[in-house]
Amino acid sequence: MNQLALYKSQATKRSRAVSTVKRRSLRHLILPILRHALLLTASGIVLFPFLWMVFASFKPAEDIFLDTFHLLPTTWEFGNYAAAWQEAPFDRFFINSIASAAISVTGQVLTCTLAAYGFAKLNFWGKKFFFTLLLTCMMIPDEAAIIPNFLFAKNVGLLDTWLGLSLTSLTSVFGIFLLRQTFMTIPNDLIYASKIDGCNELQSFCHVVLPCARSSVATLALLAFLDSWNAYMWPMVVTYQNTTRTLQIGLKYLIKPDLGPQWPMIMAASTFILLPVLLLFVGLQRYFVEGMVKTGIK
Amino acid sequence: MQENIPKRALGYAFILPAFILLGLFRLYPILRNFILSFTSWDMVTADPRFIGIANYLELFSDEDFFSSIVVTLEYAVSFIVLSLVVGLALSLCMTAKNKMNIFYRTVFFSPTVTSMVAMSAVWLFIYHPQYGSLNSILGMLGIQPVRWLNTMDTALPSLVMMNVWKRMGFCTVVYLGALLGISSETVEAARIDGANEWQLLWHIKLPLISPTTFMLVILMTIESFQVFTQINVMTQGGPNGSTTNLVTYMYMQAFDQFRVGYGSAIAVVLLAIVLLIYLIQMYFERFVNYD
Repeated sequence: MNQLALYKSQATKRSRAVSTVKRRSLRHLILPILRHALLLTASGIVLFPFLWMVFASFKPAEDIFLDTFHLLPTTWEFGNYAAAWQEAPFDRFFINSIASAAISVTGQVLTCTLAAYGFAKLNFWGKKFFFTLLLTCMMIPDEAAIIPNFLFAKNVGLLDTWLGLSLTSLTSVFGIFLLRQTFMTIPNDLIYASKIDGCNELQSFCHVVLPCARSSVATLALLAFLDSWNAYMWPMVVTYQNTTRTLQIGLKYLIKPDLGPQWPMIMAASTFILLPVLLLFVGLQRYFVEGMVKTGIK
Repeated sequence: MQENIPKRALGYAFILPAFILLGLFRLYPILRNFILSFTSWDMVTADPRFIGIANYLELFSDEDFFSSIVVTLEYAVSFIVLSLVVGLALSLCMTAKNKMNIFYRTVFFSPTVTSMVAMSAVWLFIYHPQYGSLNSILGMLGIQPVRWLNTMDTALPSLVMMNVWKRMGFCTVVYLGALLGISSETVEAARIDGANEWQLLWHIKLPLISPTTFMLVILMTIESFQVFTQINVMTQGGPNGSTTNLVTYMYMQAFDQFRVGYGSAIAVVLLAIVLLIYLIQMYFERFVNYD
């Protein structure tokens, strides 16, 4: 009796397995097609604004007034780039963007690596408290602190300066978290060994820990650069003159409500502002994706 | 094993630079904001004048302020739901490791790294009622032109759509990481028990990646409360205040109208709401499956 029940259940299992295989083979045919159709459509939608931007930047002004949809220019107009470059002091904006980004990157790499090492490898009284404080800082949106920070920059005379532009991004909570994660994976024995060889704490940090965490430090530098390059609200608030504005703010002041034939020129300006970042992204994609996902996840 | 006394001082030395900066530009501003919110000041006259809770009383009778909170919440909910659903759907299609999926991942992630101002300019052009490509594409399908950013009903959804375009790739990549982390044994076991794809998704995959969903919701909430750039570039809060969120309203009061005290009061409310939502989300963390 028991034996019979066992056979029966085995038989139903087998027949179920057979039907699963049949269903799966059908699934194997249709699902990938649907899947790629969806993914290709999504890629098209994601890429469209980029294509529209680049092709529009080569359009002659009269193309803007065409009634029907044209992705490609009727004739290729390369002068839009020169026109955009001369419309505002973009060479100045470029220098300002790069200088403030350089200050931010330097500041973040210095302060974040040090603090992360403190949290990952050193013991001190109140470490938990400071770590909680760090978490609290992460919850505070920059925007909620922008009025006092502006007043501070104004009082110490940093409005319209490079240091002023990067003032609020000289350190980064996410950066500290990212590097702390990496430093914690470095074995303590390695640090002890360097100490036995006569290194002090700072020397073992510089010569042992930092080289081990090169790729994380590179990721942090990249993210700091990106944040600074794309920053908007703070640079908007602390600059008044064209000579100290960054690329983003410069572009913003070119966008006016009644734009018509100037659109190709605006698209040209957008293209050369995006280009450095997109090139960096294509070249260093791994760091970007890993860095952003890791800082997101903590 | 470790000599504690010298280490104590050393630890402080290592974290000091970061904490000086955080104290100066993150923590102290919160205090100063709070103090400023009880004053009236236009930044031109010598000193802020103490006026008690007058700013807060004004806030509670200010219709524009309540409208900005509604706009902020509408933006947050629609942006978070759409980016997570689209991100999850795309990532579910990309779990196989092959060249095509690496290509898709690169494409989807690329808007994340771009500058919001430049992309706002591009989308402003795409949405343009006369010269924009969206209306001319819809025109080919026989759909009447829409004044995307220029009517009160369509302006906010248009901004959300653009932001979803920019951020869904991030959600996709994060979800992809979580989905690839699910052990194939669990999935196989469920299959052998006769689970179909839908049941597999609903009862196995979604519960297993719930920590990721939780983390993304928190991240996207904070982000959507900070939205400023695209609004400032594309609509300036208009038409008729329909896209003025809290941050934009604070900016307008403090930096356009030079009402520093009132702007600070809005900033205090902004911070309070963000912290409150964070606490609520932390309460819901108990329903998240961390194994």
